[in-house]
Amino acid sequence: MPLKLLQNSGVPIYQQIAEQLRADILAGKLKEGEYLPSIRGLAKDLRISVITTMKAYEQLEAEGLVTAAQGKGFYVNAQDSEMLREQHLRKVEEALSEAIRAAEIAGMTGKELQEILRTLLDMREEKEIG
Amino acid sequence: MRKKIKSYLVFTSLWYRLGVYLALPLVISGLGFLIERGLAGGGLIIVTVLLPMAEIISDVWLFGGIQTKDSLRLEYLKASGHGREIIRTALEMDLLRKLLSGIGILALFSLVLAVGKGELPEAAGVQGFGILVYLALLSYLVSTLGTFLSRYGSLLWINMVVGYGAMILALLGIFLLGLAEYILIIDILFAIFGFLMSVVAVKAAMKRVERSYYDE
Amino acid sequence: MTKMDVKTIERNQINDIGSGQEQRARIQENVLQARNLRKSFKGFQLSVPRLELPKGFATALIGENGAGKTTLLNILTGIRLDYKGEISYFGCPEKKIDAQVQEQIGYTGPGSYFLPQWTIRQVEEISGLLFANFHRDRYRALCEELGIGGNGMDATKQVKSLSDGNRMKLMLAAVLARDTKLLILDEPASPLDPLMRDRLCDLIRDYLDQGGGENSVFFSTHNISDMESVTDYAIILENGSIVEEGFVEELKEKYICVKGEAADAGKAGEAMFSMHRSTYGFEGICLSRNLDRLAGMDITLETPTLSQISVAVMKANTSLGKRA
Repeated sequence: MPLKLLQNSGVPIYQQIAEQLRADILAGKLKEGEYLPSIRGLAKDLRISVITTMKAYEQLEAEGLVTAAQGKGFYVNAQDSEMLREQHLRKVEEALSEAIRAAEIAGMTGKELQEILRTLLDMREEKEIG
Repeated sequence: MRKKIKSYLVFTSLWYRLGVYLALPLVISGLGFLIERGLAGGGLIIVTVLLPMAEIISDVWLFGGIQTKDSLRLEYLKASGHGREIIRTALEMDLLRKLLSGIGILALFSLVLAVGKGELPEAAGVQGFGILVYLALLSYLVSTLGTFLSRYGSLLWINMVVGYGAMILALLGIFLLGLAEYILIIDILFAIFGFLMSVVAVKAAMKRVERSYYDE
Repeated sequence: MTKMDVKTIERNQINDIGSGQEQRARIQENVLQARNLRKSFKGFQLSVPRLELPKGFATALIGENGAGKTTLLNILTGIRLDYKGEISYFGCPEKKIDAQVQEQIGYTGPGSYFLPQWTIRQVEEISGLLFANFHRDRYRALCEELGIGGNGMDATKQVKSLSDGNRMKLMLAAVLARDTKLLILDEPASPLDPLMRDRLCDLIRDYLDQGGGENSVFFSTHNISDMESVTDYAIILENGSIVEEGFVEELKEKYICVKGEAADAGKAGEAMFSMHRSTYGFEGICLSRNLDRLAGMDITLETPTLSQISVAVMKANTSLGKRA
């Protein structure tokens, strides 16, 4: 599993791991029932401490994305569409809030922002059709 | 047994082995032959007297300083459950080796001497054999006493001094041969003292080993 | 020997934790537990009322030279027998070390360790005699891998002619060639060059991975930044006592690195755990729970490195010691 880590980004490593794994799980790249690499195996591959991978996995467990099986490791939970949708919705909200903030700084109006969104959506549609 | 021998050999370096198992017997025997030729006799005496000195000096490179205060920081051995055992076995095997070496060198020397003179070994008879035993026991006793003493120091000159002392002691022991009627008793005494000395030597070294687990 | 699992639910720190930290309800086993360890020297005393090493992790014993690290490790490995206290290993009820336990522990240390005249080959011989779980083929492979055997170096090379770094590699080869459950390494990084230090961290992670949670490592260092990337649990030793300990991730939440303006330095100094000020501003470590006392100041917050935390903790304890 290719995980990219940035050492000095200010984001704790365990968080970076959790984020990337979360994305993979929500995107379906990691299937239900599939086991994540062992915490020590992952630590070895990424060249970090075991406690860091453990914390990343525990975070995912707290979010309900994975479950710890005694002696076997962490496996991916069934992602029910409700929770998935909620996760995705939250992501969209975050991204849009970011865009709004950027627009404010740039001095754009709400209408101009909506224009841009519409244009972008149209462009995507054209790409998919074409 | 093989394991015991290994435990002992591990403490020896290649040079030590070449020196003690090869060079030492050859040199001492060689000197013995020279004296025998030059003085028409006394070769056996030379061998008996030189043997302990050579053993004591060569011990510097084996267990030299093992009874000094600062010795044995062998953490690799001490962190193992078998560490003490191995050291003890090595000490014991070394003593056995000394005994066998002494007997071997003296016996071989006598044999070669006898053959050289055209005599049959049996001709020497019980008395000749008795002298051999006497000399072997004497040599062993003095060697063991000497190495025990010299191990309290770790410098070569200490071993040399003790070596010379051992030489003199061995010489005295040879003069005792003059008391022909008491030979058997003296033999037994030598054997007993030799045994006791061995026990003391091993105990003294092991005591220091044990102490090193407790020092500051 | 029946094996009992010793479980400790919810690790409690020795020091006061503070509100910002969750009590982890993880069931954590200990590979080693010690109580009331004491050893007095002239002018120095080692006093460790409680020591627990988490199983399956790499624990760092951090302390300055003279803090008592080697003494503690010597006690734990059975090299030093004059001490007071109890130690139990691998969940067994015995209160002190024995030959069976020593068989499961791999120790490396800064002392002379080997007989100087031993050759690399003789080390192999004696390892086979000392330990039943020693694998010759692994030893040779490791020697070659680390550059002290095979083509790299003659097996007749004597220990006394090895550099400190190579001797350390030899010790590592000897311990890693055995089947052990606990590695106790006294200052393993010190004699190594930076490239080899990296390798050492890899070897430790490999060892932990191979054990699947059953292998543990306990190493000491006076410079944690070398080994930070492999440290899971940290124990900071100062003047013979443990002054702080915890899982690294928890310590990084307990302490926070604060940088601020020079003008605020005075006021900040009262709330900070440790601080360094210059004409450009101040920088230091603050306990997370005291962060509100810095409210209103122009500051940036950063996650501290384990190195920064240990320096701060050791400095704070030293000055306390001086005051008292």
